[in-house]
Amino acid sequence: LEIPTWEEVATTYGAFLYSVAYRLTGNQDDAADLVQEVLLRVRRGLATYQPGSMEGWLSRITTNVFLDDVRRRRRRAVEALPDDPEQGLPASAAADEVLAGQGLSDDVQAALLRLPDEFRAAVVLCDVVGLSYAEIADSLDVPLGTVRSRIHRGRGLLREALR
Amino acid sequence: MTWDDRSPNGHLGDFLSALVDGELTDPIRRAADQHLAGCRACRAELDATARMHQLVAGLPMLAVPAPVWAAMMAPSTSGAPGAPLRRPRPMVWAGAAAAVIGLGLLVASPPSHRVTPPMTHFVQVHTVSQSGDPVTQLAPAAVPAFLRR
Repeated sequence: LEIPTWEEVATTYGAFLYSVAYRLTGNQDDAADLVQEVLLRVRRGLATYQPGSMEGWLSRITTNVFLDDVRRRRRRAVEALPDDPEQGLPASAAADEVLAGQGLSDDVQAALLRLPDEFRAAVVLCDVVGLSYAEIADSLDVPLGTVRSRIHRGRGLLREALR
Repeated sequence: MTWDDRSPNGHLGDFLSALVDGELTDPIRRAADQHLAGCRACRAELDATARMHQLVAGLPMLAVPAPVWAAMMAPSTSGAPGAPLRRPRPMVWAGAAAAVIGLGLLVASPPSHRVTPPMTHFVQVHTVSQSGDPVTQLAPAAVPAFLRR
């Protein structure tokens, strides 16, 4: 099986990648940044890509880049806390993002953004990407039970947010 | 393992999501079905859990906005692999735009104006008021004497 070129990946899976990135970040700018970083890693990693589910591979990279960034931001926030308490507050830009448009999709997206990042990642990988719990556990490097718990608690929080 | 190992109240808990997602093994799923048959609370939570799954799974695929698409495709035309791809933030764009505008003001040639003469009107005027050779008609009515032969 031939390994696709970088351009083929971007062309074929661009909308998928952007959609996953948007579901995780909740706004166009951060989604664009995330997609660019993912494509950079994809470009570097294509030579070692094992033919399989391209969507699965891409979404794993996307989620990891997203969570890496979340952890980096948290570390920066903790470091900044003693001098500037405002910076120590949890990143709320995504939660506060006012989504243009209307309809149920926007309500659901807004509710997704209120989830803790790890819960959101698990829910997106499960419901948007369609990965199995085992694949999600592998992607997030957590036990299967943690995946199940995050997804279920995430859905519970979604329900509360959508009430 | 059953949910009873983790749930002191005996309810299905997060196994409900696993049930919705088809992640339970057959023996556990059968046991879950038995529990659901006699537990209204778990049935209600199962419905709510399935609804949340459907809502998120039903989110539409998004079209990539043009600027994002341009940024996504940038690496294919950039230099060495691994070149930084980070999209400049709006402030960077604003600065760059201001610099370009400033430079433009310094070196730009005078602006050219596009003129659209009322050609139809001119034709009508000449057709009505002039006859013969239009160049002759444009000659001054009175030629100074010293220029006459």
